[in-house]
Amino acid sequence: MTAWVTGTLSGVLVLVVITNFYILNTGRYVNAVRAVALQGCLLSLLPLPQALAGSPEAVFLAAGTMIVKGVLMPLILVRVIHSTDEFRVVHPFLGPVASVLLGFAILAVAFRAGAAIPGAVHPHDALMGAVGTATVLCGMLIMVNRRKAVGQVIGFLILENGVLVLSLRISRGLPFVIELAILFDVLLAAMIFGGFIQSVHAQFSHTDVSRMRKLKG
Amino acid sequence: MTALLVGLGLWIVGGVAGLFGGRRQPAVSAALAVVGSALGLGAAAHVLQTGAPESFRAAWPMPYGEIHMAVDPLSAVFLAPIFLLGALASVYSIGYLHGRDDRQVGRAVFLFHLLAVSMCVVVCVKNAILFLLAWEMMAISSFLLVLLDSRQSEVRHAGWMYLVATHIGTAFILVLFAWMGTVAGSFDFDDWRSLPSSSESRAGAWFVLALIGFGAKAGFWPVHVWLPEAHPAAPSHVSAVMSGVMIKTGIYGLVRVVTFLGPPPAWWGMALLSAGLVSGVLGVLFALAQHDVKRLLAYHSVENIGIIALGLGGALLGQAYGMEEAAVFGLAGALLHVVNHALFKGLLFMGAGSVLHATGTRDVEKLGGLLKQMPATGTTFLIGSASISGLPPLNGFVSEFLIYVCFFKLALGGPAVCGAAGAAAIAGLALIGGLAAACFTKVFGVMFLGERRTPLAASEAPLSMTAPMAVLAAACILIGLFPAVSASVLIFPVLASETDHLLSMTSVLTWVQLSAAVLVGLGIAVIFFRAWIFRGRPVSRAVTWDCGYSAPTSRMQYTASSFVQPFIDLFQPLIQPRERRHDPHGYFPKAASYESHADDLATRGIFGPLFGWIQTFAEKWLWIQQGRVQTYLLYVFLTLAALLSFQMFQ
Amino acid sequence: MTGETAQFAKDILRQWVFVLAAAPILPGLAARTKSWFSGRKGPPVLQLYWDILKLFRKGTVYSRSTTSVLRAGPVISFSAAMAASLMIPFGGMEAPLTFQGDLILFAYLWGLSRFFTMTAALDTGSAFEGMGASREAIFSCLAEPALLLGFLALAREAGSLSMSDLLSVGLIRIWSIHAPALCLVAAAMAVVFLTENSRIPIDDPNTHLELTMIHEVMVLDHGGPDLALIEYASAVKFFVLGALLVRIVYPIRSGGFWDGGEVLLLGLAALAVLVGVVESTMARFRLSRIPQLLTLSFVLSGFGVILSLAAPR
Repeated sequence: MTAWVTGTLSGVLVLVVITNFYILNTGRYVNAVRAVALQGCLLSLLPLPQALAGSPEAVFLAAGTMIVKGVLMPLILVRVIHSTDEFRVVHPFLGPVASVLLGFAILAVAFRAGAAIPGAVHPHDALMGAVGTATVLCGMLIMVNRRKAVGQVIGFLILENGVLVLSLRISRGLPFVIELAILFDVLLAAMIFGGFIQSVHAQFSHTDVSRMRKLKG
Repeated sequence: MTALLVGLGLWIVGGVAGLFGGRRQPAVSAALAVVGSALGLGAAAHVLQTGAPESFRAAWPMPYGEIHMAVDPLSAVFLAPIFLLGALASVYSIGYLHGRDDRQVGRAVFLFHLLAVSMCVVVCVKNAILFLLAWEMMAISSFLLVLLDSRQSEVRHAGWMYLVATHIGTAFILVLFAWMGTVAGSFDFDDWRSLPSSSESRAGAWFVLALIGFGAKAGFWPVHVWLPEAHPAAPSHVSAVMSGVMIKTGIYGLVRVVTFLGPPPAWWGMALLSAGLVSGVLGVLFALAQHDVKRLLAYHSVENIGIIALGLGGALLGQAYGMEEAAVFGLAGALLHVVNHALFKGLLFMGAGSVLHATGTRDVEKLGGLLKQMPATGTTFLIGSASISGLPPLNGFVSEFLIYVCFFKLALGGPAVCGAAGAAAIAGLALIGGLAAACFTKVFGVMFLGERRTPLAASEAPLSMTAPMAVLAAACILIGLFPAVSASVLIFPVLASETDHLLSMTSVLTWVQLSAAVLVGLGIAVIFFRAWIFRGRPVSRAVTWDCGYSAPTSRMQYTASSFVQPFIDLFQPLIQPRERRHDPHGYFPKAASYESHADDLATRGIFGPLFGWIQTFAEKWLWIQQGRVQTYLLYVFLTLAALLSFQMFQ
Repeated sequence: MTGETAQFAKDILRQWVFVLAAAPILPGLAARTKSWFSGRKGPPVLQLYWDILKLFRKGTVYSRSTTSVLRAGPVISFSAAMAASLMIPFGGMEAPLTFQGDLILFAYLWGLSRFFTMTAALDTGSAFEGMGASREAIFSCLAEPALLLGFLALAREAGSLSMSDLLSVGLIRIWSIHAPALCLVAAAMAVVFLTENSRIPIDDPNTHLELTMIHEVMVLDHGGPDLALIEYASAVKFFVLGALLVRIVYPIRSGGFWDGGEVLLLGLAALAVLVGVVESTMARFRLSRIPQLLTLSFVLSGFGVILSLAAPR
């Protein structure tokens, strides 16, 4: 692998982490969705080495990722946000400063864990494992830390992005068909979530999940 | 060694003389203390100069060994500040205790001298049993000193808390020493040097016992809870000594025990480093939230103990990862910080004491503009504030600098984990430094600058109080201006390390010295330039810019609470303040107010529930207490019988 | 020995003359850019020189509340800034004060200057100045860890604890292999630069409302030569921290004191223009959002450290 490819890949991975931090920090869901879109586009660059090696599947996968994660899902989410009028992150359990610092701690741990994933070949493999782990954990953190359903969908998407990075790291990409299937599953999930959130909002005029406590017996 | 013993003898004579009372008595005792300290400092200096330990042995009609005292360079580094600060505090107490009734003064003098002597004995003694005796004497005498104003209920509460905390620590040390003594077959420290270090887990257990036991005295978080209670309650010269040197005996004990335990594994360093980071950051955060100046200073002791622990942790990590040079820098920084903290914290407590003496309040919100009435106290307090904030060219910077270099070296040369620890420590030190500077601009600015907030009359403290502060301030400046000289005199004998590490440290510190000289030279040049440029210029006086408002009052000044409000807001999850606010309402608002109090996190979160649980458990056994003498005799009888039968069946 | 001492003194004086001569041009450039953006003609680029000269020729008015602490503030902050300038290498040569650990002294000298600026502000007893001091205190103590971690990442790459080594030719090689880490550090340093120099989006040097200022409000009660020293000190701070940033982003290859100096000056001029652009296109952040920005910058330089720790050596 040539030096510039390695360099680009590590740059992309670093940017993925930075989008994580941005999403942890931001107080507006629309900004978070924009960052998720950017993250999706960044991820579509990751199969670059395979694509350069002349694999048409990789090109297809990159295009699919770009369209689904970078365009379609963000569009759905923006529509959901507008239809529910829930633009701001309200009363998260951890404030932006605390959650960014926690995200940083997660990153440090992930680097320790990512280096332990066996089978590293390329110099950026350790980085990939670390970034994947950090992104998965970061998505979980966001899901835990948001009250509104939109926030949880965003967290879920980030988590899924992390899984994608990890899968590329561990198996040099899952078989092409499975990868695509996952992509469409996620798209489907996002659509269902969107419809769900909208109907919940229409019913209760809020989507605050912490108020679901009332449902227990 | 003779000089040291004679010096201690003079201290004791001075203390006993205190009991006889008389109007001039404190001055006599202080004079004896000063002469005794001079002798003791001479002895310490001699040991530091030659590097050879001096010892003294005498037979002792008690089991477990003999009287064995020795001054090696490590002891000498701790002895020097004890003697210096002890003598200065003794002089300070002449003015500070003036006007109290004779019996109270006599008691204070006696106990204070006892405290000083027992601290000296603690750092010199080489027998575990004797160490524990001296340790206990130190605890009891300081406890009684805290209780000097025992008519106030919060003082009694503070004393009680101190007594419990210090004895919990002593319990751990007792277990540690008993265990080590059993393994070594002797209670003499010299025999412990070659302790069988075959079992790593045992050494680890010993380290943990020492960390908790000595940590309780030193004031590591969360066993620091007694500090912010006891320091404000004690008379100020006692707080100066307790905070400046007594808590350092905990550091001494820890360092001494670690030298017995053989090569440290990495987790010891990590443990000390975490203790240091948590103590440092939480200490300074809670200091920010305080309005009682002595309580604030007590929290800063927690912070500075944290910095010392960071240095020691760095030294252990350096040893564990085979980075000798980093280890040397860490240890040197920690030990120098021990000395420096004694200087500036002693100075600051004395300054707070002068203010308390002059105005009768410790609440910074009631003070203001004191620099005009108390110029000597104010100026020395400013020097102490700048030193404790670690600003160049003062002494606090030198020791923090060495600790920084230690962690930079660890992060540069070590494996990733070690590097991460170094990075965490560097970020922590930077945050601590910034917060400490903020805290001391607050306390100095609110107390000494601006205008008076309440009509409290104040006048400068007597010479017996200002002179010790001036000496301490001068020492802070001297160490700051001549770091290479001070380090080679004070610290190098302890390090006993490869000469090239010492050479590299000397070269770095010489550069720091040179930079300080450049900075000071430039400052002086600018002062002269400024004076020259002001010749014949009109300089007039007016009011502070009031934004056009025509009736400003001194109550409009920024208060300490408002100064720290952004900090409290940001660190709210850690400080968890109790706030009481009455916001203004409507077009013609009535009086509005805002108050914040920060209760200690450890007291509220850990020890409160723990002791509450112990109490409920103990209350279940209350039925044992009958109040009838016969029942109690029955208990005695039953116990005896049980013991006898136990003996019989064995 | 005397020859060495004389050389040392000469190096120091040369550096100071260079800094003092060049520093005041940068705020002028930034101001000029801003006026260009808003369609004004704006003050001449050299205005700050004239301002300082004018202030030095004036008398002054002191508040009756103040003490000598107020007078000490400008002297100390100016001296500290000048002392810090001795650690930045300007051409390809080593800086006059170069030793293992000078970067710590560098960071702490700004702390010294800040401490005395804040106490001088509190000396007036004005609520506005107290407010400014309080804000300065919290923002700078959040910027400090970012600065030192940034230094750590660079130091680990350079294998040295001295600014002159950090910013030496070796940086070019480091850019070729650890570009992501260096980008992160540079971004964090840029935030630190804006914070320390009280620039938008952290502070607005041109605001006219005392309630919203940070740095400007702390020096309200200074006048005449004292104010001149303060203005000069902030120009020097802009110059020195800017030089640090420029040298990280654009390493200077080699040469003597003057070689590469023109590149540095061009870079600084570009930075000043960039600051002007940022100030024209952005608004100041709400005060409550500044800690978030500073935390992000801390996390960025921390991430740089992690990357450099994780990199195989």
